[in-house]
Amino acid sequence: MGKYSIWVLDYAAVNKFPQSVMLYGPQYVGIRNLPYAYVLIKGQGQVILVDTGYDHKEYGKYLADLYGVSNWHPASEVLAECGVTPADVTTVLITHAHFDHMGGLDLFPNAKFYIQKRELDQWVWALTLGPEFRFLVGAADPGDIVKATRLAREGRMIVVDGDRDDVLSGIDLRLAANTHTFGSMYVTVRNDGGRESQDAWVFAGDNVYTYDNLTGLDPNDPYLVPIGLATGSQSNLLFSSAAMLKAVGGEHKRVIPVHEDRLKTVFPSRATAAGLHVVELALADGEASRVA
Amino acid sequence: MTQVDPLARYISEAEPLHDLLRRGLIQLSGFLLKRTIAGPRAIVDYEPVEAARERIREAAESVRSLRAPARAAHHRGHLAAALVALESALSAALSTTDPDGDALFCFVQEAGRHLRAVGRATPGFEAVDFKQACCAAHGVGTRFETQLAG
Repeated sequence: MGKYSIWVLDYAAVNKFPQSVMLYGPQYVGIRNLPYAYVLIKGQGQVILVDTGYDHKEYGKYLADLYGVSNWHPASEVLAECGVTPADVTTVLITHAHFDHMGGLDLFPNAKFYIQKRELDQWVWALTLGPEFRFLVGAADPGDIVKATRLAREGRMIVVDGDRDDVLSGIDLRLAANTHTFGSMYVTVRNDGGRESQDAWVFAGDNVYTYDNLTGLDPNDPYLVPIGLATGSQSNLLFSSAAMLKAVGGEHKRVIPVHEDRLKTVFPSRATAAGLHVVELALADGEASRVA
Repeated sequence: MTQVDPLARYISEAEPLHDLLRRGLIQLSGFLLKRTIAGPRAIVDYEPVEAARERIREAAESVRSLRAPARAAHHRGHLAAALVALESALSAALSTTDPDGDALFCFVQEAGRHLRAVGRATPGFEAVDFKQACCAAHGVGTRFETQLAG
């Protein structure tokens, strides 16, 4: 039993997502289902989310329609599958500023939010550039800047400048600069509390879309393959993937890409009435399974 | 000669203005966010403010001279109100008497409300039902006509 219970919770999906975006390299190689999900971490008196999802209205809806997102469900409904309400959430760790990860800033009224300083700084800078540079801010909802400002004024938006150990007990934040985005962050949970943990999990944000980014497509010749969508560099993506793998002792299935459709078969899971999935990674002492 | 529908002409003229104002709002919001995070004594880059000033300047005269048919008057009222709020926000950003950004924050919020009413906050110009009031503040058009005339 670990310190925290951990679930990955689907809240929407893109049914036909180009594989060439998930894996850098060959084009016209087909499509995959791409779940949209966030991570719920519960224990030690905390209810933590890795990313917020988005709110399916206004510009969030516009972007979602643009990307072909379907079967969206609100956080109140999704979290209820694990007996949690949005008001229960104490902490949100934002991996990057794209709408499907940060677009729910106003959905968790009691939470404090953590994001990398570099992600906000560079995003604001990119927004001052001309429209010819809009690729740099394409998946971000500018309205989230206004929401983030309100949270910062309330003291609820905490900016992290680089790596931070034990932001909460056993939970570390790691900057992966110039990768998927300017200031992407991944989250390490040392679920046994040990510095050299034997029970570590990494939540990769979008620096890893699929386990294939960690293994390649040839099981006899595994290698790292960067994602196909980045404002930073492919080499930075490879080195950050290597660092994630090192943090989990090389056990690649413990590096969790929330967009990986196979999580539901790799770990215990169940489908909800809405056709979403609850994937159970770990249970803390006294916590009942939500997938049994 | 082909007659251009006044509503269609209005929409085509208003769309780029909406985009300019939206970009100005984003840039001022970004400046405010960086200033809030950095704290009142930190030195903050004014590049976003300069960018916003340029966008607002580009839009101002055209918004003021924009002719709207009756069905689009309410819509134009929000566009004009957004311009007024952004000009106030710009002044607040450059002011030395608003160290905590309170006034800037208020004007940014105000501009955001009006721009959401104008275009549902999309980068283009989402369909707006010109037959329906898009907010409870009826008369918003006439309220801001006074300021625009000044």
